[in-house]
Amino acid sequence: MSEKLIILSTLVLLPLIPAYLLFKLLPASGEAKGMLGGLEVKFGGAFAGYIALTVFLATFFAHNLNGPAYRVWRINGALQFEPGAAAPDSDDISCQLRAQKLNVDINPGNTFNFVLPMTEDDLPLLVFSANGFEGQTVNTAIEGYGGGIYGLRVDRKTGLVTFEKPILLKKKSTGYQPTVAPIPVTGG
Amino acid sequence: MKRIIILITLILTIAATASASTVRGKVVKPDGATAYRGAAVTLEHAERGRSTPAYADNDGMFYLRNVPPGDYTMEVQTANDKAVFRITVLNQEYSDVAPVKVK
Repeated sequence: MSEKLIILSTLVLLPLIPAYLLFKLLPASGEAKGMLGGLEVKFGGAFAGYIALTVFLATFFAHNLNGPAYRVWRINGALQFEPGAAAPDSDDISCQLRAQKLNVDINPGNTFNFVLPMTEDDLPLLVFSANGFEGQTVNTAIEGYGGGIYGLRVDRKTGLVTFEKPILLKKKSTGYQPTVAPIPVTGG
Repeated sequence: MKRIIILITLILTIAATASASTVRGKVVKPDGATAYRGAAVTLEHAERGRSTPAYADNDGMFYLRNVPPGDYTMEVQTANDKAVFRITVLNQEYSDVAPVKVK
């Protein structure tokens, strides 16, 4: 019961603060006129200030509540398999986009080229894998990821992500000989 | 003078390349034999921060490249489990981490 009373009181009293401030601060002789929604309007005194403030706030919040801007990004690049190793069948090569949970086709010639609607904050992790080769993850959100070995360029103006150098997948060696003992901290 | 600068740059580049390792490991299910595909593995260093994750492949193998030697926290995450370990990355081409079991 008391909770309802507090909410009701707040709803009634809170709008009085800006209303009082507008009434005190704006001169009664003030006037605002112009076009609003195709109609010519003319307001005076504190009410003119109230309308101007409401229109400003409504425009401001409408703009900011729209959320982040999506655009279509284009991502281009190529894969290269370690020289001397037999290239895998195209069916055995995959490029997965993490976060987006999408699989992208690798073209003949081991190139990839795809478009993705997303925000700048959602630039994906590209997870490349191929049978018999060591997998590789490339983070397109980090400028110059990999210390330049991929030649990764992200053009935010045109929405273009380009790998200027091929992504080299190394052949899996058979020499996996664990020497590092993982010491559990939690969980496992 | 120019030659000396080039030589020093070259030496530093070689030194930097030589002192990065590929952390290689395997993620398996609790039975110890079945590979866990898709597990995300990240490394965290006190000063260098957190790495981009690597994902276990069909054989459960993961590869984290260009990791400077040192002590790291390794996090292995699956849909159902998260396991955290401490590892020491060695100054060699591959630092092979013993298989880790996750649910």
